[in-house]
Amino acid sequence: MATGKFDGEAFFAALDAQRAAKRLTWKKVAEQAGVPASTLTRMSQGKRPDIDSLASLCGWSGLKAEDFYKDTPGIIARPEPLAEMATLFRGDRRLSKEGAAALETLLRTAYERFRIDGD
Amino acid sequence: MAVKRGFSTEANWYSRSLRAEMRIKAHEKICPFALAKHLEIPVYAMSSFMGDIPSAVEFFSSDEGCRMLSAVTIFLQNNKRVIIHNDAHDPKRQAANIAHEIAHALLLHPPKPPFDENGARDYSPELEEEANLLGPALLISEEAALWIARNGWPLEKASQIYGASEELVRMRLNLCGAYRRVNRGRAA
Repeated sequence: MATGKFDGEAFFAALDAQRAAKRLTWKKVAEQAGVPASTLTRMSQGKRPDIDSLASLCGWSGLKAEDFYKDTPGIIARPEPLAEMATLFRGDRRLSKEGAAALETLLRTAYERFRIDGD
Repeated sequence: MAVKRGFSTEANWYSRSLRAEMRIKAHEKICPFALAKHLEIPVYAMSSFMGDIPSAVEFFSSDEGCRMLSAVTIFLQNNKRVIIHNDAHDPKRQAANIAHEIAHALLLHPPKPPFDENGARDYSPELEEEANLLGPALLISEEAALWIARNGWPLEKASQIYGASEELVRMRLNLCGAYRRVNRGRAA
């Protein structure tokens, strides 16, 4: 019998692969699996699904929960250089030179802070 | 840019479903900070960085800087999202900015690098357009738009009640065809 910690991140990645293969939106996944609208976003934020949602998502996808137990923690990725930082941004697309520099400063500082906070 | 067919229905579904999860009536106001918390998405004010990077914060607090930064979602290790929003904006604008970023999170839009290879802002028009529609729909649900029309509230009153700008309320009233639907219902 498998033991260890449920790897929610790997389970979510497997769900995403199924979703992409079926060319579905996340809304359709939620509807077809019968899970609340927030469940998939919460899972993407590292929150583990409740047992009913996990069962529903396993049923929808054909994935087996026990395939996502892991005995050892995964490798923790190191921080990225700015070019590889990942963002979604709301603001004027035409950033001035000063604006671009300020944004870069803000992003670097934010990454540093959240890394220290343990995220 | 046009969004995919049926997207308005999808946006209204999110707005209605999330209110139900949070035990808020379908036509009632939703607090974007509470919604972010419900979705496990941390939200930080830009001013919280004042002690570390005062010149960048002061720049984005200026009129010029305010236009350049409304909010940004950054993706940490394991692709967890964190929202940083420009709290130099007025509260209604802040609500719209946060709702916009939450919309990206609900639709699980993938991240992009902040700058392209030429150093310009990287930008995905289709994803932005979806967030431009879903963000306002979160603040003013379809039911809220109908409620406003049914009660005959002026935009100013609706804006105060829902904590959203008059422009955003008007957009949602139009997109939902709220007055037309209410008037048709009364005529029937």
